[in-house]
Amino acid sequence: MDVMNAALTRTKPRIVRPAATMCGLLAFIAATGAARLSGSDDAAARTVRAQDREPSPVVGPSELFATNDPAMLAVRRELRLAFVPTPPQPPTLPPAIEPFAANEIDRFIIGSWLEAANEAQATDRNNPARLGRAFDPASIPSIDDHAFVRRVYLDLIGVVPTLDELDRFVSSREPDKRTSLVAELLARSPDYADHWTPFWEDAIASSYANQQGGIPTRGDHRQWINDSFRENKAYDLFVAQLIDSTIPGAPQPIMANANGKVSRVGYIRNDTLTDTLQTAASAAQVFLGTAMKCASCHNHFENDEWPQSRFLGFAGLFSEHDLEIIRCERRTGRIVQAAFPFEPLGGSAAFEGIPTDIPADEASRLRLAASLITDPANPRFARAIVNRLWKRYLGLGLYEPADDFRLEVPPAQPELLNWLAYDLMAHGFDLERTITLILNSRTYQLAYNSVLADSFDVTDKFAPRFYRSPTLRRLTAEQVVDSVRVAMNQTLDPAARLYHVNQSTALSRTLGKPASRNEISTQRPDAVAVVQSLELLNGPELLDLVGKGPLIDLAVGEPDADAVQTIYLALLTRPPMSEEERIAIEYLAMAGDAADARRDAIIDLCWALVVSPEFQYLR
Amino acid sequence: MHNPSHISRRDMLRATLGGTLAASTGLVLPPHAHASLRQPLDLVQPTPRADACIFIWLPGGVAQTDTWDPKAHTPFVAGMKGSELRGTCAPIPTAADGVMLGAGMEEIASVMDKGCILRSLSNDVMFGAIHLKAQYYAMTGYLFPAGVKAPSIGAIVGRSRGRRHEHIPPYIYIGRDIDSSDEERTFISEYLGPGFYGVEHAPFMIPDATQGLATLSAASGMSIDRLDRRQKLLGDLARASDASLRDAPRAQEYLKSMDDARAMMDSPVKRAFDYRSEESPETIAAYEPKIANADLFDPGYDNGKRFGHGLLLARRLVESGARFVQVEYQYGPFKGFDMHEHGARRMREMKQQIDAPIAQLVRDLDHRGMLDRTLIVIATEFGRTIASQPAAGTEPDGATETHDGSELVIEHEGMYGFHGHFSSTNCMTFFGGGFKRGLAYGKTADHHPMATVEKPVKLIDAHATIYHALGISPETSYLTEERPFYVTKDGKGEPVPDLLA
Repeated sequence: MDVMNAALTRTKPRIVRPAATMCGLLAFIAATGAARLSGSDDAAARTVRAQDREPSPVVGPSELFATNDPAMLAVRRELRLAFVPTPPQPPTLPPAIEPFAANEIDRFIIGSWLEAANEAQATDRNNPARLGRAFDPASIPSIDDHAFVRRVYLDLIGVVPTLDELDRFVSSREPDKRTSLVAELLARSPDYADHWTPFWEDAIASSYANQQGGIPTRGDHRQWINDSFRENKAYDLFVAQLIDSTIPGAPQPIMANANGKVSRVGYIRNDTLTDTLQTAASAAQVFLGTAMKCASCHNHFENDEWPQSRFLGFAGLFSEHDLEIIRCERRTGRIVQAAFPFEPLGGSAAFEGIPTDIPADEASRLRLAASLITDPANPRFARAIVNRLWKRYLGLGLYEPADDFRLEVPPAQPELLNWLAYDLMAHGFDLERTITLILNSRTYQLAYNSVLADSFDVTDKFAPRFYRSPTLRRLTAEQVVDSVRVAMNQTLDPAARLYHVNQSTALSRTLGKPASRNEISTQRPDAVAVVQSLELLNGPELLDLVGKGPLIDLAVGEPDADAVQTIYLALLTRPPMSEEERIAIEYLAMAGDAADARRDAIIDLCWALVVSPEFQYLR
Repeated sequence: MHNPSHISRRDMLRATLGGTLAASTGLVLPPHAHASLRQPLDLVQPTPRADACIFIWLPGGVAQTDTWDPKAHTPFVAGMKGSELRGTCAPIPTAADGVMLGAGMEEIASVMDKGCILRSLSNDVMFGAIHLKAQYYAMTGYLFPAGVKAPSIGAIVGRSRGRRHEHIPPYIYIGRDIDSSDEERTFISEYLGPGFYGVEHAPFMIPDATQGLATLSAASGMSIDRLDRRQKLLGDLARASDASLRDAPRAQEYLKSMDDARAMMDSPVKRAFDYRSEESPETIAAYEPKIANADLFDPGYDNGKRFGHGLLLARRLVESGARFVQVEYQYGPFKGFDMHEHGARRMREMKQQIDAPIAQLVRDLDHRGMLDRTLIVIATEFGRTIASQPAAGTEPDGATETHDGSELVIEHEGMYGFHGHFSSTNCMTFFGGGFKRGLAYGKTADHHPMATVEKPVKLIDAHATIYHALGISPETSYLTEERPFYVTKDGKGEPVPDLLA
């Protein structure tokens, strides 16, 4: 604990904390300026330090929210961190259990196992040892190098490794080679950004077309997303730019003609009340993990936290005026004042420092919305994104559903969630840092075990999750198609990646890529269906993908055992087990020596591995 | 009739237990439905009147005045006023007493005693120029954007009633090609899809019945033997793989689904395509258009044969055990039923393509004794009216709903026809499946604007009536984002008793 606190103290900006009032804030800012925020060596504060060279600016509340300078976002962040009634503190780290705790994450996770084991032993007197073992770190193994390299390649750059890349990693004797590989793949920023791009296109409903059949869309943000992840843009700036287009570097909405009517096409849409409500609901769902669409035309059916008026207050921040309560299409004449309706860390009604006089024009309101959503004092923002990262790499979020955090349902590992959120904020919303932490943890590197793997069922939301095994994750359409290309061609061609392709085909739909992005979505479907299986079994597109390429040529020229080995390594990133090898060799032998028959048999083996559960699911 | 409970929906939801649903409702649930479906315990699913549905979808905006709701024939006279144009064809009597149709629909007229026309499908939503918004609404019952991806009627019926036959997908869609980067088509592929229900409720797409379906026969260059050999290899290798994955329920489900897919290649779905050898030449001819391609106003847009054969295939699929088959006369802007000029001629030609096949479908099902338990629905996204300006389609939103055509001078034959979008009134037609027979329901004005004057029916109530006939309560819901999403908006659709037998 002390080590960690020391580390956090080192990276935390040194701020003198006066009384938490706006009055005090003004006095403090006037007296100190941003210069007082210096002294930190973390990413967030680096931009702040640039301010030191200039005379200290005097920043009042309106200026605090009015500034568009990305550097000032960081200033604002630091100031607000200092002034929330209950400032975020680094949650206490549980003790390290050697040799199992690779990093801080493991200390929380293993701590929860030990707690569960103790409880189990206390409650199940009949067989305490059995239950104890289920939580014993020594009996929960981590993955071998082959499984690791497959997992991190697919997770970080969205494709399987080539034979060369695989060989280089497996044969390396460097003790920290796993950590090095994570860093190496993050450094391949174009490939890393390519893998993130379709996720965010789904999440913000980015569309390649400005209008569809006369209906305006939310615009094409593909390149901006890709650029943002290439440069590892601070996540709060990424979100703030999306909401407030006046921030330098923000994607610019365009005015587009849709069927004779000129509309603003951008992430923020305000043409109609429905547009406004859906903009607000989408932002809350994706960036704050809070589902409130249901409250847009009546009180939320199921969630008492969200009466309609609370949602409309929030939605007003995205509009040019306060919104009227229209209950199930009936006007009430009641206007709800725009407000930021999220609880602060401390638990009172709203966090301090939220201005009560909401500006009257749309641009200022959006600026305010961007500022408040990304504010560190708003605990849902950082938690929502670290939870998404956790879900992305472990399969199930620390809270579920990741789009629908509710106060009444505690997260599976609340201290870990808070710690990750704090750590992200303390490091300037540097997503690559959190990703590195997760992928370097022993928890991430545990072997898949269908018995130990957690599950989530909406009818049993309080069931604990221990992350003793990742959950099976269905690969996205992009991961499948791009990986097959890499395996067959033994090279990654960035221009051929599926996310560039606007055409919707039977195969891309089958694998779950949306034909268009009319609505936001943070999760691809993972159900299986016969109609889709038929496409994998017998579809011309997949047959074409696996039917040619250097891998086939290579395997054709090799003796059967070598060919089987090559194909397994290229497609499943591991050598075949003996029984698999026997079956595959027998299949090749059955085809005989005729060149065409042997080539077909090799293609068949490639096909069988591509459509196998092991390829389609990441474990 | 369905009797809505007095307990509030919210209370019912609170009182719900997921797993007990199937037992309490008798609903046939697909294996994954339980976790995500929570119905109020006292939600009673109506007794089905029909087991299958063929949904004939004619997007583009069919002019009701020339088809299902004919008005007085007012022949073309150069310089006539728009307000004088009430019908481009004469009303003709049908086999149903007192029910008239537009001339050119003689075949359907001869089976009208087995059908029921809803003439007062009324909207308070004005779609203006936007077809896709109206189509999305017609196919899902929700206005776009709905906040979540709304499922189409076929996905709702497929999910709620499940399969009739083990190897026939519950929702089959015939007549649309959606493999495209065209932004209109990708939009369309969403609203006819499963929405948030997910891929397991996606339609089985058959773009063109006349072309067969590639995936049902071994791919080119691959014999069925090799296909089977290769699939056996998949199974053998999967069984030999690591135990942790082999035992994962998802992996098992996935492999089972591959086997089911192979079974489909031998299933009645594939055999349904053998109609050329199994149906008589007379039957096939009856499903074909009565106009040659070369004679069409748009000779490049000759989807009539594709449409007619689609209906024949739909009949064969329902005979084999399909639950819901949608057949589309493929929509294209300014093509087909989307008439913005030469409406009289185009409408004549469209009727020559759809009249005989639809009538033959009704006759076939009736002769086979299947019409009682098979519901045929014929629908379009909105009606049409007289244009207000010579360049039809350029009116401001909502203008077409109120004008009477008195400002418009019809100078030449190209202007003669119903070229304006009309959201106020639309028709929907039903045959069999527990609907009344020989009835026209509702009344519209005889002069422009020809809005509903008697017995207006909202779209969600028309949908509720279809669902009711198929044994699905309009209050049925499925969870998305942890909230119920109803098969009719907010569960408020009410079946129209007068339409049901």
